[in-house]
Amino acid sequence: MKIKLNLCHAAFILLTASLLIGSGCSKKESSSSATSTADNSTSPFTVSEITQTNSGDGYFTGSFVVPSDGISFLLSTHKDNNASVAFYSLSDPDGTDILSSSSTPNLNGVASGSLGGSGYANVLVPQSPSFSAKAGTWTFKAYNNDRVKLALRSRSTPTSTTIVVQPYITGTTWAAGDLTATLSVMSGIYSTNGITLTINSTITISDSQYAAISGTFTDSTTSALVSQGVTEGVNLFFIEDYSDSEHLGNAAGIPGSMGIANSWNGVLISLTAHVSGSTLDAQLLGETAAHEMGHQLGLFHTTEKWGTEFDIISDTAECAKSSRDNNDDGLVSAEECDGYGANNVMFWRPWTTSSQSAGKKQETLSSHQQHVLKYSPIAK
Amino acid sequence: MKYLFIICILFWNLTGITVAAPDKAQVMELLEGRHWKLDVESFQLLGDDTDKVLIEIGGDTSLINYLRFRALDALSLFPTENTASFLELYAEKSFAPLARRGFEALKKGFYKTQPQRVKRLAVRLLKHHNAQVRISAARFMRSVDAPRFKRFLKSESDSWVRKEAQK
Repeated sequence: MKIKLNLCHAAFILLTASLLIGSGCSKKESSSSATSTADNSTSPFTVSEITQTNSGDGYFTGSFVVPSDGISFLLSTHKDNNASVAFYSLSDPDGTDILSSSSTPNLNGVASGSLGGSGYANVLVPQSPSFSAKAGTWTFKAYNNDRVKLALRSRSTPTSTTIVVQPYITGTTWAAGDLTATLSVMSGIYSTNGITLTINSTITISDSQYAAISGTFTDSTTSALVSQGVTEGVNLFFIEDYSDSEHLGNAAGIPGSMGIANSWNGVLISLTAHVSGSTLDAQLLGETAAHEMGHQLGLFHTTEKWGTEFDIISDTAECAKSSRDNNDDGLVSAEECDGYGANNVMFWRPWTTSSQSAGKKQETLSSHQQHVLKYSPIAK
Repeated sequence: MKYLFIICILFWNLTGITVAAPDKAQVMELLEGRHWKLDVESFQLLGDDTDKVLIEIGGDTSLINYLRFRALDALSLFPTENTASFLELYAEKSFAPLARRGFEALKKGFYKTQPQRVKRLAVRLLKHHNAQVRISAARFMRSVDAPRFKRFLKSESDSWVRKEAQK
């Protein structure tokens, strides 16, 4: 039985209360978001804004149709002042609310659209093979927001999959050419797992203000950088350094935004963090890029650090503290989880340097993880 | 009496064992992960002498940077004189990413107990060649010496640095 990630009931109740309060104070009229903005009705990937109706009980309701050849969608709710947003419900054409804890399966406490987010939250279907973008009319009920958008993929059958990747590099310490080996590692990881990456030429962003930035996507500088990302692919921002955190990299969400130019449309990866002496560790950096891209497309850590929380995907190996924490330090290291998922791209931590030197890598994705990526709205 | 003395010696030795510095590998475990946030409780459980291990890790130029960076952050939980001296040294003499982290850790660990010491370092770092170090020092200065912060804003040539410093 998989355990859902980081569900804190108290926090959720507080968030729900704050959302309801915010909603109650809203003077938003249903007509304010009534404009449909389908970008390209003939494309297999479309982004449109959904008309919402103020239901009078503090919520906004809306609906959309998944066509018979629909493959996947990402439904997102936005608030420009970065206040909390979330969906109260999202029901499929059969009337099953996939955000309700009483539904089977469900994304309650898993999707940011259920947990809530600052300024942005979403629901991805499918986020595991247990879900599908069923054809027909889906309905949602959302808390106070400025707009709800739908990124919908249809028509192409996901037998062979291509994902466009747009790398960026900031700062002056490294140049685009220094990423060649890293991007090759990342491309190899995805190729091995049945996904072709079309990696665009790296774009150099020379403004010095973007050399080191906050790891918080609502920060104004980070937002200004990430919003420059393309809408037809996954944006990887290889920043020189973080200004306020010690991640190797972090994604804007699980998943982040897709197809919309906004603050959540990309991942950050620190170059300086991956340096030994004066050398970039291309293998580790490539694995981090692959890992963050996995998050951005909807994959969770297969096993979390304490070995007590696991992803929602049923075919990924679990490394449980109860059986694998050999040194009893309360953490499950990659070495302790050798043979129990440590080689998965989405394992919570990399191998130690000595294990990497011994040839250990994190380059595997399970069949179900591949399914999520192959069905991604942004994939082709 | 003789036996009591022996028991006391044994007890003293055992006590010595319990407060000994933690194993380096044990500390390194707490610095791992693709995403990382300082786990205050876990570090504090390691004991007082953890600072010595963290200083060793932070100063180990053969290690990958993310481990060294995180070690500096964790040092803020162990505000010893050794820690303060190490962080001051790194804030002034090391490469910019480590310098900024050295200052940030000193600020977190010593602002309440030695505010003047932190301020003296911040004053010097306001003239650092690296913008991120200047921003970090300036943000601290804003909270402790508003007139000096205003002077910094007037003298700082990069507009984006002035803007970041006021965040």
